[in-house]
Order: sequence, then structure tokens, then C-alpha cells
Amino acid sequence: MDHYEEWIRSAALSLFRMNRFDECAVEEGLRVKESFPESKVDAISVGPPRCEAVIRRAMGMGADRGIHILGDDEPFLPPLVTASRIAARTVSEQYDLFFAGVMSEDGMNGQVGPMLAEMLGIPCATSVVCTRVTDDRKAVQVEREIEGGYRDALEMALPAMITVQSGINQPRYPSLSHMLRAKKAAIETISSDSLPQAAPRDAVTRTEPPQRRRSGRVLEGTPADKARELIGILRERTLVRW
Amino acid sequence: MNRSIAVIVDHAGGEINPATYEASTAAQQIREIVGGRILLVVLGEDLAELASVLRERTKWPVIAVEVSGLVSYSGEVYKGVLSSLLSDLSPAYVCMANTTQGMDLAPGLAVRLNAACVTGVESVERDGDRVCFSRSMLGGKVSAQVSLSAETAVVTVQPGAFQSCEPVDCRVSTAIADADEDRVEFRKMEYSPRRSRSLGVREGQPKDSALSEARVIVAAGRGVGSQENLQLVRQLSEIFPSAAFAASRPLCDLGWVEYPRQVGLTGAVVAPELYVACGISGALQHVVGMRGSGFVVAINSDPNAAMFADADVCVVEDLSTFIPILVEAWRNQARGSAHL
Repeated sequence: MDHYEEWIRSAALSLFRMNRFDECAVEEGLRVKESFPESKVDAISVGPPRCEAVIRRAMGMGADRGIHILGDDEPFLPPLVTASRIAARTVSEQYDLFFAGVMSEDGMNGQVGPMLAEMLGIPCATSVVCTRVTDDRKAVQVEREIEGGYRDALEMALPAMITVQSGINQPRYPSLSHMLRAKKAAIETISSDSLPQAAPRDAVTRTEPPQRRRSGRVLEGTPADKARELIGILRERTLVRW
Repeated sequence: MNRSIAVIVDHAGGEINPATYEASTAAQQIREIVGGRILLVVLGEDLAELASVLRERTKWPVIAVEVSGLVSYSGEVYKGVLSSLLSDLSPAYVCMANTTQGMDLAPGLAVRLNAACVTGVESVERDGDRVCFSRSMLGGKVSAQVSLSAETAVVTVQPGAFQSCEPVDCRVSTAIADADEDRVEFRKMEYSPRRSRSLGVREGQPKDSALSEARVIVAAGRGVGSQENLQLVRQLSEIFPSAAFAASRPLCDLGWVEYPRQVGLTGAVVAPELYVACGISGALQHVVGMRGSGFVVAINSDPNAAMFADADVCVVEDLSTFIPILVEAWRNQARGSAHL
């Protein structure tokens, strides 16, 4: 492991919290529960022991149960493997709706949700910015954010998978009462080794800093030095007002 | 014989998404390493016109699969039709643009084809006699190389990362390989979706024309941290001539800035003379919206911010302290010149 990889590891660790897109996914699930109060929300996560804090946060937001598919620290775990572990645990449950973030902030693959849907044989809509379960509770209508400021609307029969885009809602903060309950609540923990799962088909073999696409001149000195130099550069190019 | 490379065409409203031609360039680069021929695959209801446009542009064989009722993209129909078509054709690589359509389609299709799936590919590299890819992680702070251990791979190509395949380039490089395949093949397939139905494409957010007309854009990202600092960024735009204020997606999601002011993949694509990125992390989703800018200044307290890779001038400072100093420096110099 070279210096750069170490930096990535520590950056990834310091970043460790619930993925922002997943916060929106939990929130959207809780809103469905508010419309259909007899329903339950389970929060499921795959990962090393530190994931437990994320699951408890979801329960603090209002999720009823937490399920932790526990693995070792597996950096860059392929999404296919993650999805297959969740499929193995959820295939026997009667879930009507699955919510996931459109992608993770670290891996940025955007694959776990749609792969899980395929493994479970259910319809899937990605990049969703609006959801509504029909009154007969047999279908969900969604709007997907697509290019050019348009939205692609569709209806899916339940059970269905929805991956949510940010902006769909403002995720709530965990409430004190939920947090107290979550602290005491048991989390179902399953060893990932005990589950049937897909063999990886791809692997991250190297990491490096992004390539520079521009000159990237870094200004040095005190903030005042940098400010003077920057104004000078912009004036030369007549890009500031006189 | 080498297996083929299939490019799935992204189109809507009778227009081919230009990112498809960038995915085509990626396919060409894959072919340079592994050989084989490139096929374009397009799905829709009435494809005569699109197929001839594709053929004209690339000179590659086109398979046009006409499905009655398929007026716009449907994940269920695309996955159903393509999994059966591609099982027959057995391409080694399936390429498509990493658009909302490609992102929706690729992972599920890969599962059906028992293929690897690599999303948001930014470059194609040689790995012995095989292909590997690089893609962004951690908001663009890291470029990761991904290699494959499967026979087949479904790949989505990040818009903005590859040149668009030019009509002339395609003709020159494919003149020999595809000379005997001057054709468009139409197929008809019936496929009624069972678990989903389209409710049509709707108007979402309007764009703000101020962004396309501005000489200078001052843009704020999540790094501003507070609404007070956002005010500072707005004030900064006053020192520039004909400046507009914009933001990256997270600030719009927070409700701090209206969506029409969003720059990036899902917002406006802008190309001002000067782009000042304040507290923007520089994820590719944002960068593709401003990469055409003339001159880029990035201000961010994180020295590892990906935005610096796309900047001409980098300032590693905290916005809340630096912007007032910058405005003051501008005032002093303006005053200085007034006395000349």
C-alpha cells in the first residue's frame, strides 16, 4: 500500500457516515410508512463493523429494524457482490418496496440497487425524484430525473426497487426518542460468509490522483498575497471590473 | 474470430444523445486493443431515420430493433429485448453512455448477461492483451483503475471524458474492417412490459438563461458551509463584469439556490469566459457542466479537492475569510488605478 492508497483509506474512513443519497432513501421509506402506518421499514447495510453506527442512525430516523450483513474491511467491494448478499438475505422477505441511494459517494458506481432488483426479479427505476404509492397499494408511480430538465414518469407494480436522487426530500434528523430506542434495539447481524453470493467479475487494481486537465497554478503566500495576485491575473485578462 | 463490441444508442424525441458518439469512441479504443467489429444497436418504435443517421455518421453496422409501443426509454423493455439480442450476438463489450438511461440500464443488463459492469468510465487502457478502465471515485478525488475477470463487460462511458467520434475519423479507421458490411439491419420484436408502464416524459425544471449569457459565472458548492457564506459568494460576483451566480447540485438540493441555477450534468452546461468555483468539490457530474469555460479559478479549503484538477488558478483558502480579502484587494487596486 503506497502513500496515496493510505491517504484514500484515511479519507474514506474520515468520511464514514451514512451516504447522503441513502439518507434520502431512508427518508423516502419513512414517508411511505407515514402514509401507510401499518407498514414497517427495515434498514439493511453491508459492510464492516463500523456500519452498525449507520444502521442505528437509520433507526434513529425511524426505521423499525436494522439488519447488518457483516463483512471484513473490504475496500472497493464490487457492487455485484454487495447486491448478491442483500438479495440472499431479502429474497425470503415480503418487502413491497426497496429504496436505495442512486449511488454511493465513495464508490460512485450506482449499481447495487438495479442489480439487486434484477436478482430479485422486480422492476426498478433509478434517479427518482418523486414517488407515490397508489391507493390500492399495488403499484408505485415515480418520476426519474433525466437529461435536459425533463422527467420520465412510470408506474411499477409492487414489489419494486427505487433508487433516489438527491433533492427528492430533506432527510430528517434522528429524533431523541428514536435514538434512545435505536441505542438499545438489537440489530440482526449476519456474517456475509454465511450467505450465497456472486463471485466478483471486476476489481479495482490501482488508484491514483485525478489527471490535471488545466494548468492548475497554485497561489502561494498569505491570503492577502493570494488575493492581490489573483486580482492581478484577472485584470490582465480584463475579467474584473475596473 | 474476435467477439464484437456493441454500442447501445441513447436517444429521445428523435434525437441521438451526443454522448452516444463519445461511447462510440470508447468502443473504438477497446477495439484497438482487443479487435473485433463494432455494432450499433438502437431500440425504438420507428427507427428508419435514426438508423440512417447512425450509419452515415459511423459507417458501422447498425441493428435497429423496432418494438411497437416503445416511444421512449423503458428499463423493462430495454433489458428484456437487449438481453435476448445480446445473448445471441455475444459481444465481449457492451458500451453505452453514462446518461440517466445508461445508468438505469447497465447494471441490470450486466446481471442478465452474467457480465461485469463498470460505470462512469473515463479512459480505456491496455492491460496486457486485455482492456482495463479508469473511473472516478470519492467525488473525483481519486481515479481508480478497474480490471475485469469476466468474459463479457457492460460499460457506461462518462459524458465529457472522450472526444465525440467524428464522422471522418470513423470512416478512415473502419474503412477496411467494415467494408463488406455496409448495411442497416432492421428487426421487429414484440415486447410488452408486464411489471411497469410508461406515463410519459414531463417537463421538469426550466433553465435560467442568465447562465448562458453571462461572461463570468461565480458558482458556489457545498463547501460554502452556511447561508452567510453563500451571501459572500453572491457578493463576490459584483467585482466581475456581466456576472451570474450559479451553484452545484448539493446547494440546490438543500434549497439554498434555485434549481435553474444549477450547473452540471443534470443542470445547465455553461461556457463563460471566466468560471469561479467557490467551495465546489469538483465531482465529474459538475465539471462536465463547466468544462468549456475559458478560464477557471477554484477556491477551496481542501487542498485535495478534485476541482483543482480542472482549474487554471487554485486558491487553497477558507471562503469565509478569503472572499472579503479578495474583494478588498480588488477595491484597493481599482482605487489605485483611479489615481493614475
